[in-house]
Amino acid sequence: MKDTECSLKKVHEGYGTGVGRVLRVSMAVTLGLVVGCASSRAGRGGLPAACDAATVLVAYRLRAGEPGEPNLQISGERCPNCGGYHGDSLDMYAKTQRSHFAPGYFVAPEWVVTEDFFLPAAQIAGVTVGDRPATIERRFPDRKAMLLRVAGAPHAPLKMAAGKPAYAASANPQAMIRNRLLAPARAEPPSGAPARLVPGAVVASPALLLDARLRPVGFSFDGSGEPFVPQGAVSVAPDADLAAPAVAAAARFIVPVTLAFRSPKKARAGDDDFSRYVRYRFRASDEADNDATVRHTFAFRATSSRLLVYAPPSCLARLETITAYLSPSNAVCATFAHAYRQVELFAADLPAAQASPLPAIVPGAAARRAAVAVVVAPEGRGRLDIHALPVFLTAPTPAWRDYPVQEAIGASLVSHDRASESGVFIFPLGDPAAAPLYAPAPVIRPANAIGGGGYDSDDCETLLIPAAMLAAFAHAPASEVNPALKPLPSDKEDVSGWLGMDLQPLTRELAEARSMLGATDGGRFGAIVASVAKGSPAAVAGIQSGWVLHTLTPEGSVCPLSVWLEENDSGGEERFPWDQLDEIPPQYFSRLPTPWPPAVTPFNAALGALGVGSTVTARFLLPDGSRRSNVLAIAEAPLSYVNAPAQVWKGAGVTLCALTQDVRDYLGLGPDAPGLVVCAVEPGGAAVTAGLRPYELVTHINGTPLRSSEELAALTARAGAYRLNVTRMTASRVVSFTSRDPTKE
Amino acid sequence: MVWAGWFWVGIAHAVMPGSGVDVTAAIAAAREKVQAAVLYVKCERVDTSDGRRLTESVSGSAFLIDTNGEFVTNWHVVDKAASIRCLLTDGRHFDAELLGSDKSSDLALCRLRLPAGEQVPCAAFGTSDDLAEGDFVIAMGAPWGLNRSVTVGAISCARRYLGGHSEYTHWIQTDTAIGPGNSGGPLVNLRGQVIGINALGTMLPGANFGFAIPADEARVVIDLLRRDGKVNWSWCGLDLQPLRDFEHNIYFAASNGVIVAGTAPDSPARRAGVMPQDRIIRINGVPANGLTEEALPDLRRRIALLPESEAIALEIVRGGEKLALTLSPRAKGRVEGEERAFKRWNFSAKSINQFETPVLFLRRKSGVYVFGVTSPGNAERAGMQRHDIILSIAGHEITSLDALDDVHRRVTSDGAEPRVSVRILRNGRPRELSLDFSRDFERVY
Repeated sequence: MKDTECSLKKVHEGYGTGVGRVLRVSMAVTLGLVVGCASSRAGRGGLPAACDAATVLVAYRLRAGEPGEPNLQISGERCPNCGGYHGDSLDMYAKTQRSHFAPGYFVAPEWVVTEDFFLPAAQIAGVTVGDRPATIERRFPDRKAMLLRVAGAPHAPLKMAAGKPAYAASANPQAMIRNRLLAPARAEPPSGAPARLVPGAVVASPALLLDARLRPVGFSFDGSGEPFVPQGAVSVAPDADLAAPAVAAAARFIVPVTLAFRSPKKARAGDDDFSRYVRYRFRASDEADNDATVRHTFAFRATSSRLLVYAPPSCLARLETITAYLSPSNAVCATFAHAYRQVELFAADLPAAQASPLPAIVPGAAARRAAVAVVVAPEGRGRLDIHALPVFLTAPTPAWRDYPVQEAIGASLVSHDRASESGVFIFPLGDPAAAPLYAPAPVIRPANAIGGGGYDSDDCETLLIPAAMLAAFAHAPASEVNPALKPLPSDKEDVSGWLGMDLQPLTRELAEARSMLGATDGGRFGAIVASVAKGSPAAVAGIQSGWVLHTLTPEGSVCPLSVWLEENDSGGEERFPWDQLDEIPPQYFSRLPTPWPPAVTPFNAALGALGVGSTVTARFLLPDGSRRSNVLAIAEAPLSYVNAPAQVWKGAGVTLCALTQDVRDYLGLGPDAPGLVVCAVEPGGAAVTAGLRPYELVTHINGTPLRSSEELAALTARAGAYRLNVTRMTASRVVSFTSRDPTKE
Repeated sequence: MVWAGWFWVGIAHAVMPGSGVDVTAAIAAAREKVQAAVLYVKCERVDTSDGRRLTESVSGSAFLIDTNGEFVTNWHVVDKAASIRCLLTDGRHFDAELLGSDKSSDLALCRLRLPAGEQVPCAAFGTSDDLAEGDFVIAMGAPWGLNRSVTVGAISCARRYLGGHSEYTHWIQTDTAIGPGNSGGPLVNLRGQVIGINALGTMLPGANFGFAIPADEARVVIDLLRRDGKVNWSWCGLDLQPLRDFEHNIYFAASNGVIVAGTAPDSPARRAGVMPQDRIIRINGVPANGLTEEALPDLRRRIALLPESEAIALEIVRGGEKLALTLSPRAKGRVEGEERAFKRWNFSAKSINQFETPVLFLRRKSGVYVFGVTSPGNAERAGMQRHDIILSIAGHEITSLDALDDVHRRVTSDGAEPRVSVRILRNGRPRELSLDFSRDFERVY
């Protein structure tokens, strides 16, 4: 008892007088009750009082960064409570004029050791410890620690002991901040109770590491159980540019690339259908890119001759040239190799002469060390906007395919506006010749459904995976490659897929009538097969009308996709204004919808994106309640009105296109019925004056039946008088005009 | 008085039939002869376009042609009327019954139900053959419900062709103010004779045109309506085109005959071998005149009034060669489908008719389609839309309204499950609907 009383006295003297005296009495009583407490010299939090006294709050006043620079998030590890990353961006601290607080420990009368957040020096306006100014003197990047020199009267430091760590007392900055705000009357212990160190476990940092007798032996600011002490550790000057060498390394591995595309085809009249098709074939967010003819991006040199170019698959169909800028003056033409199923990259090869050797990429994942994050974004032709800043790599998580993914860093560095264009690479600290440690992989998270309903579309998330694993995609097996994604010739550009089923979206009432509410989520998913086209993949597989198509699993896909069709409200039969065609002024012809329902639906477009020739496993729910699975090969969709070959008859000012099956079905024409469909008439031309209108059928020219574009060209070769037999839906008439000689314009 | 002054200035030197007459006096005299015979007609029309049986009130005009109470009006005034009531200028009112009507010519013949001993005045027809542009005419009727109205104007065109309305008749175009409600009323010349039946107007600002059916053409139809209760038009499936079409700049090098524009599928003309671009020069030996589009209604009427039991001899020119073909016309029959509304299902259906809905007829020759869908209603909830062709309900194939009635009666009887599966054809594609009619949208609290 006597010993205890003496030690208490020391403790209380350490804290100051008034409060201590008051506490002495109560503590004497409570101590009697506390039996067998391991910490015989325990302060209020269970730590020795001296430790608490030496724990201080460091405050950083921050400045906002320049626009265009990475906006650093000050966040630590994933929160054990909620699994998220807490913290705000530097700019937010600057805007709200509040300080970033962190615990620090006095290790000498004027020196405080604290966590290094890798804040850019330019953005630190000032540092204070308690209420005294301090300066950053040394940095220990590998242990994520810093040494500050504090002005003013010396402070009682921690007495460090030598020994093995057995406990970790994690600082509680929230409690310290509350103490500072609410005054010492509510003082809470700055650290939590010491916890037994479990070998190999991550320490909740910042923490003070203590030996078995609760004497401080070191610090942990990086989550490691190895104690850090400033003496003898590797340090750098506070203004050392840790990031600069990485920029040189980056230039060797990250190459600006410019992609050039063919102009998109002009949509045929009935614009609505085609643009809808385009919207679903390619992801909605890339709509603006559909018309672009040039795209600047960057590529990762996975091997000496193969580039992995970062570009969404939507642009590939019209891709014409790939120009890689190995240096600002060295533009090299690369050739397309292949694109991938699950990442938004494509491989392109440099010509052999340009394949210069690269430093080897080290396999494996790096963690718990300082590194440099290099943020790249395309700046213009042949140039990249590069920002490099030091970061600390945390423990990876198996976020995708069990690959070690650095989840925290990528999300924290990229500004929202350029998120889709930029990439973050991680290079080792200090070695200008090194290969990257981590590289961004734009992973495609497939949608849950296919068919256009519910705006469910593929999503892309960029994950930082070990560079060696990304480089492995350069020579990936066939299962990783999507053969459907590649540059296509102009006439194949808008090919869509086809299984031969005319599908009707399911509704709640229909699902209930068929007793399949559960499987179809209340009728939301699923489609009734209304009819099966002869000779189609579905017909060959024996699919019958009345079955409900439930899911489709594309070849090489990890999950089945629910079939969720867009609500197709094409309206009733009489919607097309056949009897008002004569009154509509020619400039509105291109806005008329097609009379026949579009043959290319979002579902067909999605099949086209999966790839003609690839297979899907389709599961059906049959009327009798049973289920059936069929493997179907996606066929190329037969020609329909939107892509039927057209022939322009210049002299008459009319464009006619072939009579495709979808139009024949709509007009009730047999396979032998002659005719070409008017798809456009030139305002002011002879044809439009004579009364010819879009969607009419020209069956005969000068008495000869018309069946193909070749016949049309042959019959209309010369200028002169022509007599056409024209049918408008159910009514026929004779139209005649004199065609001009187009060469005499 | 202002009117009189203008007329006097305008026509100081005009030559008119019976010239030398003071115009104001002539107008007054003409009005005296006819106004007493003009009727203000109100009908309760049964309308199912909203998916249920609704009655709406329709008003128009008519004029008596016989002292027994027979009067003439437009078909569209008395179409589907459940009741017809008429008001004479002198204030007497009577009910009326329909004797016959014809949609193609837009004419109807009705008769007042006169109590014994009741006398009514009547108007006399004149001839519309010698009408000339500039002749003064008077229109009488009830525009916008303002009965006993008289308007005065001139003939703007005595022989007008209106595309879409001129199958069998021309029109007299006049600038006499004719508005909704004038339909069925008389257009009277200065001799007090009815020379036209007002039927169409334009609602465009700045366009002061009204159109009337010429009396000569109307009388033919009226006589047939009186005799048969309808006009038995015959049909060959011939579409005709004039030799000279200035509008479309289409000219054929010939001065007689009429061009065949096309033939309807499965029609007598198609079966007889008539081809598009043939030029018909004689029909049953009589020359056919189709020089301009104004000539076509007479020609079409002539062909359509030929009895269906007799073959028609056509003399045609094809590629410079003369050919003789024989047509066997058939009865045109109904030109619109019958409508019926279905309680609880909350939609109305109409039979598919070749002439009214040719596009639907292309898909299904004998069937019914959805004419109206009540909102809110069970059919609407099931996703039924107008112009869907009903293929089958509850497994029973539907080819007529009677079949639909049968199924309706059976499934809406007590005890039956209030849900049926419906197969429809929409835009040529088969679709399935599940019509759940457990809700009662007709209940009134």
